Amino acid sequence: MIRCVIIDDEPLARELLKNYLNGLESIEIVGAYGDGFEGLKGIAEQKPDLIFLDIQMPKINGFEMLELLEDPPLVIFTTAYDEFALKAFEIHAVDYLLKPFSTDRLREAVDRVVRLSPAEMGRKTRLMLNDSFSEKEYLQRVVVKTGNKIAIIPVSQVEYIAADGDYVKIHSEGKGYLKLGTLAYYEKALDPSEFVRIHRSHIINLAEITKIEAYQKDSSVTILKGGTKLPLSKAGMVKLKTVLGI
Amino acid sequence: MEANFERLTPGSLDILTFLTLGFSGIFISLMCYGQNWYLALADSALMVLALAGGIYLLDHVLKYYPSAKVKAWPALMFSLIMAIAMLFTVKELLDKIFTEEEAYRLFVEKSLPPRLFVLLVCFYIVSIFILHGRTTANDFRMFQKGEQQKKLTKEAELNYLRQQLQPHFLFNSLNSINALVTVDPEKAREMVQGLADFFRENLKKEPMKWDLLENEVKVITQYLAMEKIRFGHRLDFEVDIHEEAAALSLPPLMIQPLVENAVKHGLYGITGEILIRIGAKKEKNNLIIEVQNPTENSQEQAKGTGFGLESLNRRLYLLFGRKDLLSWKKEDNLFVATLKIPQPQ
Repeated sequence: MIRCVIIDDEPLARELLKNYLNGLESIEIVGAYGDGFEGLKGIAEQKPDLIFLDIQMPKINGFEMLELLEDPPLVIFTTAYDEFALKAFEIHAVDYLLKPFSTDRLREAVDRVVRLSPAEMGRKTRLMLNDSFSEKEYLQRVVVKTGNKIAIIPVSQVEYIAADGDYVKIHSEGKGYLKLGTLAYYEKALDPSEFVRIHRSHIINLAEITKIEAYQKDSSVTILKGGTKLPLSKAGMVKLKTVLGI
Repeated sequence: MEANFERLTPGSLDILTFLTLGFSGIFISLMCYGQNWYLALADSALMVLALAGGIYLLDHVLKYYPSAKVKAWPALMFSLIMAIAMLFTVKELLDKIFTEEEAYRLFVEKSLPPRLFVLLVCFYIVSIFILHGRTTANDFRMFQKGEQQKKLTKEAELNYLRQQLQPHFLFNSLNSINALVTVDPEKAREMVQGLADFFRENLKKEPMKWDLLENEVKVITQYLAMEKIRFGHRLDFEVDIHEEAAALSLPPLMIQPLVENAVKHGLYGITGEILIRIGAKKEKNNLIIEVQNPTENSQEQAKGTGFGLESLNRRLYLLFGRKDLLSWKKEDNLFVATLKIPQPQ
């Protein structure tokens, strides 16, 4: 039995999906939620194998919600928009259902889950840990978890991002937020005229720089508005100079 | 743009070849007249410098000359002035350098008329080239501008079509109907009818044909009623049209993108219930339409005004040639977009 939850902000869409799924024997619905916040809570409580996930939802969208999960279940997206299909494919979603979809199409998607080998089940949904970034627009905001709360930070308020193992630490207004991800991803996803990777392990917001100091022969430090000092590599210096036009 | 202009003028290699040819010509002629080689060398060098200087100055002067249909007269006039000025300079310099060489100075004096003609012909040809080259660059620029205009118009037409068809709205509504068929067949019927009416009205509209505000509002109300079915209790709306505004008219599908934007940002910007307000009034000779929605992060809404508002702005520009007809602001936790439609006199 596959245990699944439904996350969709339209009550009728949730009803329809419940209705469809009730006709399938291999699947059991353990929860239905109206937005990403409720969804996160529900997933933590129910620990489902599979999520039926809408993308356009209040406050945080489906992708942003997934980013906040440490160990995301399998995902089938359900949406009327086809422009997110590529991104869904990149994070290894099981399927992508375009509303309105038929029961047959839904059965096909569920069968795909049933047929998954244990190894594939183990891989589950890959997060946006990879370096791929296929969207047309640069990232406008990042969604982070802080304790039990979720914070939405506009990128203009991000001071710098530091690599930390499998995580990155996003620094904003004096606080640091850990999040799964790589600097390579953020380097591509953030507007390069506003953010520069100055070092193997740091990306900074250009608006935050107050000073660049020569440190030793081959290295310098960048001093941010808050007084934080970050190392600046040779390659980082070259990038900074090109962006700042000096 | 500037690059195109440069591409149409000769490169430095062309100019260098031209000057080398000129130098050789003058040097050989002087040698044929039996002059000393060093005198001939100095003389032809000065002449070629005069030629180069003249061309340089002509290029700079003619850049500012307004483009005219007939180019022969300005070209001749500028060339003549330049030729006389340059020849005078050359003669003065030769006089100074060769004070000792009486015979040569006499020769220079005698050869002034042919020298003048050589310079005049060269300058004339160059001027014609410069004037024509610039016109071609201008034409090219005009052509590009026309193409851009065409592209903009085509894009506006496409956006208009998309506005008429509203694919996302259509698919989501179909999905809702799909759900209602079993849960509430009566409501499903209502929605099918609403959808049909909405699309019939929208497709009937012609991009250039103004319509009464009343009629526009009717379609919008239909649209919102269906969104209300989709989102249930979360969405509500109010329409407040001043009496004198109802009879005014506007180009079709102008309010719809504003309402759509309000619904989208209202529903996706906050998790609670939202109220969309639409108001219209007459102010002087303008129809003023206001659409507001609650928001928490109006910064984001203003920044990502998105596809809808942007293309509306472009359409307004194409129709009225003005960029100030659409504006938006944040009041407390409300996002307010204001559309101004100047009424025909």
